[in-house]
Amino acid sequence: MQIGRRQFMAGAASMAFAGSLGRAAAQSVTLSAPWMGWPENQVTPLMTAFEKESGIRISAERLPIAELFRTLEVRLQARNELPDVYLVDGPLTASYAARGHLLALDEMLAADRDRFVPTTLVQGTYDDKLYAMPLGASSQLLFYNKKLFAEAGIAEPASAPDQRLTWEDLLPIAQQLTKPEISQFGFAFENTNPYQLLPVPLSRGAEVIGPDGLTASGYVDGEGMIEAMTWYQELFQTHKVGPVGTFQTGVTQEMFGSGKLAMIIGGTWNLVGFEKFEGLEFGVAPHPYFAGGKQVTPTGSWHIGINPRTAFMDEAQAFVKWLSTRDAMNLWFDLRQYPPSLEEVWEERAGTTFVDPAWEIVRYELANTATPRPATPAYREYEDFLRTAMQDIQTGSDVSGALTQAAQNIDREMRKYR
Amino acid sequence: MMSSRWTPFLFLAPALAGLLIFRLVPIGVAVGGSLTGVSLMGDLRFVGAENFEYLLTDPQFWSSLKITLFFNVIINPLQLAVAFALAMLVFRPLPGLWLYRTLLVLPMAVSTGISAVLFGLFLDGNLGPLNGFLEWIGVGAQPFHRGQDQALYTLIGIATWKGAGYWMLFLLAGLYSIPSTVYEAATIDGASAWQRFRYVTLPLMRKPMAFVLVADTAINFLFFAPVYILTSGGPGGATSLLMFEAYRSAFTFSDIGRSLAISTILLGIILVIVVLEFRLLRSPEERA
Amino acid sequence: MSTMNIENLRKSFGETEILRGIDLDVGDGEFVALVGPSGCGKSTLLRLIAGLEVATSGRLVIGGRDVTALPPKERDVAMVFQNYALYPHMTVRSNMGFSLKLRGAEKAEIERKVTEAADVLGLDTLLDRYPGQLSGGQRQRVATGRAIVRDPKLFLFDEPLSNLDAKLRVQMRTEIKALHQRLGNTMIYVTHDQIEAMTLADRIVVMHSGRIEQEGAPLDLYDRPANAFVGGFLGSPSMNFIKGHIRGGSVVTDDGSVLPGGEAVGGHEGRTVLWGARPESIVPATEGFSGMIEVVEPTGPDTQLLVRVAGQPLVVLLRSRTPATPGEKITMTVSPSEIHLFDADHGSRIEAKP
Repeated sequence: MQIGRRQFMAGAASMAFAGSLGRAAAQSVTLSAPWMGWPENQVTPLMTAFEKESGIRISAERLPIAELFRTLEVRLQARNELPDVYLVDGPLTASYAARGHLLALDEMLAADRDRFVPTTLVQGTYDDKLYAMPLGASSQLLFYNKKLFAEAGIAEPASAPDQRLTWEDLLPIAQQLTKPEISQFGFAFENTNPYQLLPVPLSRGAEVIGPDGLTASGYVDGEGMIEAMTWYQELFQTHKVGPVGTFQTGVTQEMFGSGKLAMIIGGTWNLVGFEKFEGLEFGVAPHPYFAGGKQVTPTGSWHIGINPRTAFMDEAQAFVKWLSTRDAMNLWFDLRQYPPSLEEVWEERAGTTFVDPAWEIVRYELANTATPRPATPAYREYEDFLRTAMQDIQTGSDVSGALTQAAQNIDREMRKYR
Repeated sequence: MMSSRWTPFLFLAPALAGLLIFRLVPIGVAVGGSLTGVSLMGDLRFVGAENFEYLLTDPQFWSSLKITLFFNVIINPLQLAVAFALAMLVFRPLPGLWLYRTLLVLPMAVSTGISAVLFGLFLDGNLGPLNGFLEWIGVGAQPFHRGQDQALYTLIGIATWKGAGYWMLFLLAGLYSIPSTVYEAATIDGASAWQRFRYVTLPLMRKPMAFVLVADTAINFLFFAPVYILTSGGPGGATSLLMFEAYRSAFTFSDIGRSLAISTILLGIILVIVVLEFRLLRSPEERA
Repeated sequence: MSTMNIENLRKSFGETEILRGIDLDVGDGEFVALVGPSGCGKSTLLRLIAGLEVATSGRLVIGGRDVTALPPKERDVAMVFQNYALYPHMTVRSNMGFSLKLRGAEKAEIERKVTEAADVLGLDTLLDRYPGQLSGGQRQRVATGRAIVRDPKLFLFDEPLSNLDAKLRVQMRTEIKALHQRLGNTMIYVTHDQIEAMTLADRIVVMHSGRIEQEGAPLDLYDRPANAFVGGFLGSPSMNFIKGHIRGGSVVTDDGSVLPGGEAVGGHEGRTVLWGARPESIVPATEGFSGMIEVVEPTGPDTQLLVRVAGQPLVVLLRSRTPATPGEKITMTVSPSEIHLFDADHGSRIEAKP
């Protein structure tokens, strides 16, 4: 909020001005790096480690996801030397690259390409060039509260991918675990981002974007999408198994952690994240799908990119290069459990971390069901309107109307890429 | 000694310079910018009326325009009426209303952004105290800004809560500027309290009311922060006011041309409406 | 019957008593002027009569009807305000017809009465103007016209001319007098200008500190003021006062100057008094009391002198172009009937004891 206001009021230009003044005064180089608003202890250790090794400081500005995107947009559109490096959400690579906001990394990482899990490189690539280095992959799991299941006498869902729940199985379980009198809900998605929700229509076989990657009408508001989102709305409005209006990741995590939510679809970061809740015993199961439909799970993750206009090109490259090292990636994994993008981290931890059944599920999903978000330079616009529509649908808006409106708006904003 | 002809301009210069730099130049830039487009690589080019032509075919624009006009048709008279009622209460206080003066200043002391956040909490569907109260008295929880049918009215309510006290001050100044002897003359002429209000107060408040209505209209056409903070134009586009569309175009979708075209249209609408309002509220003396 | 009777009327604002018991009877068609210095309570009294203020105690009767507790609307009075209090948003016509409109009179009747009043006041060409487009004198006329249209039991004027320039004030004074003679309504007129009071009123009521000091016909008050306050208040330039003791038919000041004693000294030998003489009563003479001319002010027809007598300034108004030079000595006298004596302690008039 605070940041959004500031950027809006002051404008990117004045900030850049103030920024360059600041750097002239500083003795060592400080790189400006807008970062995700993860807990401070998941961000600072990484920056400190790099600083220790290189003497280059990283000023990581932690912003909530929506603010991060807005802030980057404003600063990049100013087309000056700030920021130096920034987090790139995988599917946004095309958008940034197409507009000249990313430096091609092929030369710099020429020797390193083979060290990465190949699928993780795909989303950082645009026009056959690697623009954003993957910091990990991602996958979503069904977390459930063991205690609430036991109290209700419900069998825990199987962890084997071939025995995964269907959405049809899940609903009655969620209904049994919903107890409005004690504000307990049965089921929720961690948030309302298309990243999390697109597997719902995809499982029904819906096409969620035109084959050219620049058409929304007929897809975003297509029949499969409408059916899937109607099912989603019924969860909240008809069956009332989920808390309406809780759009933010943090809120649903808290609800699950405090036993007010029996099941949640969430990312691998929760494997460690949920440990902070005392007395919470949780289990994990594979992501559900529609009976007779496709098994689909979300994937894609954060990448890092360099502003081609940076005044500290060498330092920025040094930071990215350092992030590609095994030590940095190991540290990063310890901080936030994204499935690693380096093969060597997988191998190194095969006998330790990844023996957890949760990671077996993740490995299976990444190899078999993981479906990246639509490849389009207009992903940012696509996601923004679709997220709004999904939130509106959750709170009770007319499904077809919300999707049609989103499709029209997306098409409008896509015209600039055509 | 300097020629006295130029002296007034010298005194006006700082204000005129401010007006030029902070108002007229940006307006010029906005109108000029509405005729341009930005390529993906950031190059600016002249596109003529293309941005406007596209807007005319854009259902979102028409929907936002309708919402903006509807919003203003409701909120401006409402704020004027509420502000007037508040001013009358301060001017001729009823007994026991000392508390109310404090409550009146409160909304002015809170910034628009913060008041929007506070209302977000206050009206929240799961935790908000108001819904707790409504359930307790049996009315049942309301979605407020999360409901497609209620969101716009919720924003109108918040804006009125925030703005009425401010506009009240102008009207209060107007009330104080009516000489008490005019009321006394009317009393002796046989006017009842209602007739004094109808024939003396109301007509003599034309000018302050015109000012408030015009200034309020200009501000409400540019209504933004609560939309940004509470609804992001939703649900289902129900609160997608033109100003928010302009913001989104510029800062979310990097479509500066569309944003400036919307701003230019807004400017035009405000100008037309302000002129109409001034005409409507001209005193009979000025009309003569 | 448009009489008015006031009985022991009192008014306090909080602790402050503004009117300390007023008794006044006004006859039908009478023109009464309330005069006094500012703060004397004259305007408050007028507002009480109008009903704009509520009396703390006492009784107010208009036309035989007790109106003490009635609102202005039911008292049938009209008032002309000092600042005119015209309705700025109404034309002259609407201003004048407003009270009739409120009363629900028919349009034709309103129009007839407004036209009539406008004719009387010479406002017929201004009927469609707004107050903002009128001169001060015209506004005053409209304010008067608004009262005339009502044809009320009582006309109340609250310093109606004090916002006009001197020349216009004299002209309007004449108009109001003519108006009263023509209409014959009962009028109560508040002013601080004693000349206005003298010229207009059938009867003057002099007020001071919330009380009536004296009431009566203008010239009676002028010739026989009941106390030093009334003597000093009426007349311009105002009456000269010199303190002294009555000794053998004369008034002797502290420094031994001897002033003529006049008709009232009889039986008051030795009493400490204020000796009073109006400037125009003092005339140069070959015998009498003398003083030193300090200032000479020729006004055209008259000559005003400031003369030091017994160490005190004395204003002398000579009805001629008398040649006089500052520093000259002058000998003066006053006709015995024009000498006023007042008690030095409480200021009340002293008459000769038989």
